[in-house]
Amino acid sequence: MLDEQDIFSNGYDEEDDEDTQKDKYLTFFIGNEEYGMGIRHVIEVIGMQKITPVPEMPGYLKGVINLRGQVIPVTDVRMRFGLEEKIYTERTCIIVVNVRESFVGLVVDSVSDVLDIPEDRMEPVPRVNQRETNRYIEGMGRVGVDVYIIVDVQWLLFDES
Amino acid sequence: MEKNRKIDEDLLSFIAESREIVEEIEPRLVKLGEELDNNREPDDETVNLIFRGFHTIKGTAAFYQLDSIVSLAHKAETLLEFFRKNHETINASCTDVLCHTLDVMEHLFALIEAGEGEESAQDKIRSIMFRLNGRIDALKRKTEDDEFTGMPGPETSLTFPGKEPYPAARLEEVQPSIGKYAQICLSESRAIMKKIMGMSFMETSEDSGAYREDELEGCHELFRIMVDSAGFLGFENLVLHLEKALDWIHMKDKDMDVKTEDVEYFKGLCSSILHVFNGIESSGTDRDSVVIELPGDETPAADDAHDAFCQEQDHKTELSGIFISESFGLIEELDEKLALLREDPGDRDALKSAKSFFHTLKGSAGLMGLADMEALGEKAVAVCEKAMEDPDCLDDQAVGGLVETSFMIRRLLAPKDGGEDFGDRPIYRRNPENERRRLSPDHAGPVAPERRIADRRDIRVSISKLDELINLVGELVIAENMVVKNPDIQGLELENFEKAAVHLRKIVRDLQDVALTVRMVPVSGVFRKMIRLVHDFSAKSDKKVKLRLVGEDTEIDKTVAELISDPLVHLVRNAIGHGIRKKPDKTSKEPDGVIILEARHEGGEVLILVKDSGDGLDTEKILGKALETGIVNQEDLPLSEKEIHELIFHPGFSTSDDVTDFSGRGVGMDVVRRNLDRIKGRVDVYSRRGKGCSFVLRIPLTLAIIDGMLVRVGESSYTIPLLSIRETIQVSRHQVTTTMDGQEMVSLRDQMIPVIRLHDIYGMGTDDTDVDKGLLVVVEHQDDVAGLLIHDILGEQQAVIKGMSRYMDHVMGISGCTILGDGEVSLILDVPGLIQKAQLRGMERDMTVH
Repeated sequence: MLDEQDIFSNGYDEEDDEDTQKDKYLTFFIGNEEYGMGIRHVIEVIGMQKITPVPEMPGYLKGVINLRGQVIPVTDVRMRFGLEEKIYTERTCIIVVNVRESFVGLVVDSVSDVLDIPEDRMEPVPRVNQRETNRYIEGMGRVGVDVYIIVDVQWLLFDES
Repeated sequence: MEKNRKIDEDLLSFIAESREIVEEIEPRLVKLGEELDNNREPDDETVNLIFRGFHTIKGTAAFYQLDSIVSLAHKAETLLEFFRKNHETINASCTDVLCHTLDVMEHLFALIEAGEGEESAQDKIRSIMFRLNGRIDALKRKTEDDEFTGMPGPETSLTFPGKEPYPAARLEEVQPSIGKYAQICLSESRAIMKKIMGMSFMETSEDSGAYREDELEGCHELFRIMVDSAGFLGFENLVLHLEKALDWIHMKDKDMDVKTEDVEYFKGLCSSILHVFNGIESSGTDRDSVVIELPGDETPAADDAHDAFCQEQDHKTELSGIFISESFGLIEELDEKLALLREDPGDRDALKSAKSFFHTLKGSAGLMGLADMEALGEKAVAVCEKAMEDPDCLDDQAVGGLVETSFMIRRLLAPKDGGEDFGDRPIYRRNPENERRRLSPDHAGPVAPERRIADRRDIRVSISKLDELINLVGELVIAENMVVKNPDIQGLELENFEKAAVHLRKIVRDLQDVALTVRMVPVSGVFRKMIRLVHDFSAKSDKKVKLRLVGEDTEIDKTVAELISDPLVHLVRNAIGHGIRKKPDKTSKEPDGVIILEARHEGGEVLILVKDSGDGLDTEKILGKALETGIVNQEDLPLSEKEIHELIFHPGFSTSDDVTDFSGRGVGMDVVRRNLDRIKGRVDVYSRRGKGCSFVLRIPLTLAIIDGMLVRVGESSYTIPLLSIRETIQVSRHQVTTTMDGQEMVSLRDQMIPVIRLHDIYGMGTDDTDVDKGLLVVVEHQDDVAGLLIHDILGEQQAVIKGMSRYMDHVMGISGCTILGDGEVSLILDVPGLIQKAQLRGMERDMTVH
């Protein structure tokens, strides 16, 4: 199997660019809410393509796709958040991330921008609503009047509950 | 401890090369042993080859300062010298020792590879050196240029610990009659065994760990003594038995829970050892005794235990108290004589006595397994002898050396650590007259490695590079597909493009073929391992078995070669253990049976056959046992002969009454089948009563690419491995019967085949295809057959198998995926898993209905 690193030739070496990647977040939409994820794990963003379903997977794991000769699994973030499924449009994208040596695609409604959100603009999760899905929230980022829900990618991929 | 020492490439390379050499010479050694057994002269060519093998290993090992390996190889060479001189007393026990030397070397290789030092193997090394020395000494005494006898001569006496000094005769060569010395050892060993059998842990298994521990330790020591004498005398078979006992002791030493059956087992071992003693006494050899070993004896685990034991045990042995006090007594007297010598070097009586004392010390040291002390004694004796011939050479320096030797021996006997190793310390200064070497283990000295340049047609490539290469070729095949079958150009008439595409395809296919063969190795590597195996097993089970290898050049994938090694071992063991019967006529020179190992290519597969000329499978016995153990019920009868044969693959099946240690435990055939499954191969058995038995192993040529049939089921496409497909049929509704639990079945030529609806068993929504409108792909795996309902056949293609991502759990029934020409991902079905899944689903359905 081709080393997955070879295909995704962004050249980002995690250790090297720790500092330059810090505070940078890729923002995306799920429904009306705008979210952000640390760019450290993001490899690339691609358009929607045919997903081959794989049986006996949790509902949010839609299946696998072919990414330049490599077969990677795809998770629907909407469903992961426990929201209703939505039909894919031409704006629907797949964010390809690399976490713990696994390459996974994340389906989101649309992707916006890469923003700088410095630490002092980050607020911890409010404890008011103790809903289940709050676990995936790393914090809330404020840029101007906009608030972004910063998502913990590791939870997104690996949390079992 | 040199753990985690950085291993450099060259060293690993050396080990790989040395392993190859070992593989080369091992079967030849075995063959040599057989020739000697048949009283034929050893073939010069073969001996030279073996000699060169050891020599090469020795040279390069010296370069890397792997002293133990150097010493071993050197000793082996020395022993082989006798073969070269065509010595009349060499026999198969010599080749056996050499084979075991190879084993120890292999063990050392493994240690070095793992980055560990040689310390943990010291026991093994010492033991084998001891045996090698024993053989060499025995042979030396018979040669003209007798430098020193090494064993007590007729005029001296040997003090055996705790006994009266016996007048020891010269050690006769063991066969056909055993010498007085061997008799002494034998009676001592019997006494030891009696003591062991009388130990309390033998009586009951429920006692406190404490005193049992002491007993076990003492036991261990006693067995060690016996092993060393047995080894020294060349009773290789006895050594094996005794080592088994040692393994048991070590395992039980760590194990808090000693059950009654464990003790029973040990008792069994002891009685078989006594049995071998009897054999030696009556016939002078240990080769005639067939030993029955008891269940629970798992050879691989025993080896591990032995290894673990050697590693953990402090390799400085506890010395028997008696021996120590005796020896100290001798040393006192020795020192007196040496003092006299110091005063007057011309004192011949003193010199004679000194020599005699050194002799005795050397002898008992030998028996106790103290190589260092033995070596010291040896050298001292030699000096004394030389001095007796030529009194003038006994100057102050020489006497001083003798005194120091005595001092060293005294230190060796110091009870604190039980002994010391001296390593390289030169404690004997060279007497210019003597040619004696320094008192240190033989050093080969740094030798320039023999670099074979000109005749190398091979090149070493790391397996990971090869894997990468093959993967890239696989990717290339996919990419080529994606270009040539690109949807953008479908339907267009592009003549030139077509031509170019065909050309490209051809090149890619050729490249693919070559890439696949790159990982292929000839099957001879695996086959040759069987030579030693057959030799050992047939000796153990006391049968004469001839082994024939056919088609050794047939090539198989390297991974496959590694994975079939174990199954082959099982099959060969079974063939010797069960299949081949000993001929009633003991004096016949004819072999009791023949085993043929054959390999050839057929279709897209490699065929490996294990044929034996034994009695064939005993269908009655098999059926009987199956009924007994409940594998088969009365209602299932009658079974065809083939079906009965298939029963042997059932887990837990065995027909052996007398359980020999390697077959008959009922795990062999089941494991063989499972191993074959792992490499997507299969094993079948063909047998004729009285004619023999054949096992046929079929293995696909490659594991990375399969020929698959692309099918559509609903919206998705799946790839089914062609090898699993029996046929494809069209069925109509009335051919389908539905049972009460909703399982659809189709009748096909007298066989009822369950229908599998893919989406159904995966719970992926209802699939309301009419059976009429679709096709049924009949798939099979060993005995299971099923019909897969599909909508369409999309074509056949070679699929490069890509594993499922680690992120996703394994799905039963899916073995991986592949990328189609149009870029889409297609799941590859795993037929056995699918069938199993369907069965499970059926059971689930049962539970919900009822």
